[in-house]
Order: sequence, then structure tokens, then C-alpha cells
Amino acid sequence: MKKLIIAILLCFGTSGAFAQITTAKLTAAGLTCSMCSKSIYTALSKVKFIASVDADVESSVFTIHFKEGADINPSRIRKAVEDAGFSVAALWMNANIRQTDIPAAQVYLSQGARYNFVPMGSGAQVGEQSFRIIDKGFVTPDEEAEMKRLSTSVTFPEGGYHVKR
Amino acid sequence: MRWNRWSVAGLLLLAAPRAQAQELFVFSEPASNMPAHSLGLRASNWLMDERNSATINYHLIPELMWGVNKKFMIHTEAFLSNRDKDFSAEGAGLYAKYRFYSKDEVHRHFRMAVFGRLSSNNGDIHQEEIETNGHNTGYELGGIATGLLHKQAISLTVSYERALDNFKGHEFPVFQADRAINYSLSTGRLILPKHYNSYRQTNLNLMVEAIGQWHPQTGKSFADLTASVQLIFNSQTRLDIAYKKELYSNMLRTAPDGWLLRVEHLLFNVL
Repeated sequence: MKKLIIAILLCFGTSGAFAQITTAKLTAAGLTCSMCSKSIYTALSKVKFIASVDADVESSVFTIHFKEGADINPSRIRKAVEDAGFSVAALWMNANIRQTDIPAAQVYLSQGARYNFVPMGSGAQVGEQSFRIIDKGFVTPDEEAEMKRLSTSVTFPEGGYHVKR
Repeated sequence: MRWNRWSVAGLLLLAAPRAQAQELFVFSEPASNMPAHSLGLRASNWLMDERNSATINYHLIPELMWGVNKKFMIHTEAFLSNRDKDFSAEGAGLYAKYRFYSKDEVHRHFRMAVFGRLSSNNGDIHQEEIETNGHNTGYELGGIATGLLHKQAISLTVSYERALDNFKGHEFPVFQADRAINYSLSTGRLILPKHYNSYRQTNLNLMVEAIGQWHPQTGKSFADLTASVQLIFNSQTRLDIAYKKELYSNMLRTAPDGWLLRVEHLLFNVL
């Protein structure tokens, strides 16, 4: 019993001590110029859990570095891009997944958010992994239509974000 | 060379192929908005050649632009000119634009917006052309559709404009049409840089826009063609050098041809 308590305490003690999701790769849609790209860059840089942003102006890809220990809210990232006047075409989270962060099959908990791996992809696995959020607002309109079509035959788990490797 | 509608179409097509995504038009607004929580400062200097005289008509329109949220933006404008007397303030305007449709893909988008303008002016009414942006008291309501296809942007604007009496006793002439339908077709092309690698690179854009007005009450109309060179510094400050030339008109216009020099600076996420 004592060992179990220590183990639980250790879990609590270590969770958040180092961030599991450290970076994300965002592709923005609807851009027309470097001025537009800069407005996304500035909006992302102002999000409080983002430490820094690297922008590739040519490809509209932004590499986001998260602040250590901070909760990450992907919806806030989406809002920043939309407020800048554009849309998210893809958001990939780069994580170092630990066994303790997988409370159930296909579920990954990290930095204040729940990520549900959808049935049509491989699930959460321990180690370095990238997964993509496939909810509305994080994909292109064509992909969203495809998701809608799929959701009639596949049951998506409820709550949190739906992700795919 | 006499301009006709085919040469306008030809020029627009010439500017279109392989055009990069450029929709920061000079004589029209795109359906896209400025970023939310941001402010823009703009100064438009119109240097128009007054017909039948050696005078240059100078209009200065400073604007404060505000991206209220991702769909809605507002401009407040002041109108100053040397048209009637010494350089002086003649009125003010309020412009609002609401983007109601947006379909974004990585290298293309299609957007639609509605807009309205409400203006006051105390200048003398001396032409049949209706222009609530700096000449007439009145209002304008319209719609914009902007498409970006494979890095090529084209925008169409159609609006209804109504002129009212100007202030200081400058009434709208009774026998003149006070309603107009306006249209514009715009396209632009990025010339430099060939490849983006930083926000500090200066962008050079070329734009061609056709603008026109039709008065349903009298059947009178005009069409202008414009060409613009646009420089964007540090992805934040924009300089437009544009020339506007009348192609055709059967209405009285006092100074349709001339230059527009505009400077615009965006302050991202300041609100």
C-alpha cells in the first residue's frame, strides 16, 4: 500500500514537471501574402502558453514551441489563426508520450487536454509521436466533409480532441 | 489608342496568369478583413488633374482602421481637399465590412463580404459622378466576392450608392441622378520576392483594376482603368503608387484622371 501511495505521488510529482507536448506544426490556409503570414505569426506569439513561433512564409507552416509546464489549449491556437483572418489546415502535435498519460486505450491526457485517437488510425503509444487534430476547424473543408462522411459509419469517442497519427 | 471593354478584359487577363496571391487592392477592398484586434493607419493622397484648368485637385483621406473581430472591421475617414478653397476639412465617413462567407484551402480561398459607407461632405457639388468617398454626402451599400485560385486573386465588387445634399447649403442638383450602381473588377500579381524567406523582404505587387459607375435614372455611365505599383515593407507597411485613367464617360466629371499615393501601416494585435 505504501509503495502504491509513493508511486501515485511520484506520478503526480512528475506530471507537468516536463512537458509531454513540446512543439506543434501548424499549416495555415487562405493566405495571400507575407503581411497575412505576419498577422498569424503575431497572433500566435501572443498566445500565453506559446513560448515562440518559427514561420515558414513560403509554405504557411508555423512551428510552435510551447512554454514548459503550461496547459495547452488547441482551440486557443485555432482562434488566434482565425482572428488573424485565416484558417487552420493542419495542426500536428509533437509529443513524448509516457505510459502514465494513457489512462485507457486510444486516450492520451496531456497538459490539460484530452486527445482521443480515432478508430481508423493506430492508437496512443509510448514514445515520441506526432498526431494530428482532425476536429472541425483544424482541417480543410474537403477533409471536414470526409470526416463527416466517416462519422456515419465509425463511432468517435466523445469529449476532448479527436486525433489521428 | 481608344480604350474599349475588350482592351480592359485583355489587360485584366494579362495581369492574371501565374499571379501570386495578392488581394490588397488599391481602388477596392477585398472580401478579406484586416486581422482582429489590430489597427491600421492609412493616408490616401489623391492628386487629380482638373479638366479645363491647370489646377491639381488634392484630396487627402486619412483613415483609422480597426479589426473588431475576425468577421467585422470598421474604417473612420476624414475628407480634406483644396477643391473649393484653400486646403480644408470637408467631411467624414464611416465604412464597415462584414465577411459572411469564407472557404479556405492552403493555396486558395473564396470569400464574400458586405459593406456599407456613410459619408458627410460640405463641398460644392460640381459633377455628375457620385463619390461618397470624399465628394458627396450619402451612403453606399455593396457586396464583394474575392477568389484566390492557385495563387491568383480576383475580386468583384458591386454596390449601390446614393447621394444626398451636401452640407453648408450645397444641395444636390435636382436634375442630376442621385443614385448609382458601382462595380469594380480587380486583379493583382506579386513580382518580388520570387521566394519568401523572411518577413523583412520587400514585396512588389502590380495591380490592374477596372472601375465603373452607372446611373439607372439617366442611363449615364463611366469606366476607368487603374494601374498600381505596391510595395510592402517589413510585412507591415504598404506604399501604393497608382494611376487612374478614364476609359469612357458620358457624364460630367471634373477630374477623373490622376494619381493616388497611399501609405498604410498595420499595428498587429494592439487591442
